[in-house]
Amino acid sequence: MTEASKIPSESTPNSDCGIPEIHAHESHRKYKLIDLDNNAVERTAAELVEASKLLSNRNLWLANFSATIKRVREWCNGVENLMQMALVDIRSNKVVFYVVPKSERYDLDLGAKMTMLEVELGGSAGIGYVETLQVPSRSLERFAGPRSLLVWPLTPQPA
Amino acid sequence: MTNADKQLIRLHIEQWKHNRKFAQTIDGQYRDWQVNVIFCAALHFIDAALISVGITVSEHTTRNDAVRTNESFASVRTQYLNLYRISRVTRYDPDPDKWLPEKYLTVADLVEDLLKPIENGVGQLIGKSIGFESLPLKG
Repeated sequence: MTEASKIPSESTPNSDCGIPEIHAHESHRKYKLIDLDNNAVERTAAELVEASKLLSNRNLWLANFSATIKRVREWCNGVENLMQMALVDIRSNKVVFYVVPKSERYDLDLGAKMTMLEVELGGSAGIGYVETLQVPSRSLERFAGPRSLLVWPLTPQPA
Repeated sequence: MTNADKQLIRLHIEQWKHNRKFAQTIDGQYRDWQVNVIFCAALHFIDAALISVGITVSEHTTRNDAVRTNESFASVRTQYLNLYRISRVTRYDPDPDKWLPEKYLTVADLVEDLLKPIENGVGQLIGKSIGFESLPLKG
């Protein structure tokens, strides 16, 4: 995959297990990556190290997101008498949970419970900034948008 | 706390007073604007309180996060975040009056139920930093 081992440099094979090492401080040094279709991509050592971190972070984010959805579904079950549905939208800078109340107006009691959920998720979700927004069912599309995913209920209720 | 911070707190307090006073002049048929101006008043009060404890914010995400994660703001979280959420929808919904809780018929109701708890809850943080007296305004 990488030609790192062929290049005589500071990136020398690890003497313990034979794995070539790429050091981020070698920011000037380029490596050629060749995929299974023989497409070659050149990247600096610093870029390779950063990309590896992102890959690890992505896997962690996905695991945390999945756990967060599970927790939000539990929360929804606890307030099912107050709400119709919940959706999630993943934005570039935050994750927004849209909560549609049974009430036609903003439900202050549900709002208080949403705040408690936000406090809990803010400290433990591990997916960046999380926000909840209560929206009327009649204007759901205006706020939630087409990319939003249904979180609760798992089985859509008959209209 | 630096003099610049104290000056910034005073500016936020002036804007809080300005918005609070303006809200009371808005006719009852514009309840959507009443709640948005009350929210703006609350926002400036929160910003003044946050600076008083060493936190400067400039956008909703960081402000909301500070309110949610700092124990000094625990007593006002629900009121502030309810105001934030109501304001978000009433700014963009085509029929905002239908979204407002029925109990908020007047500005006085909004002030009593949502703004005053915030002022009472974190006013002392500001008081410690600039000698502010909480609730100098009526209603």
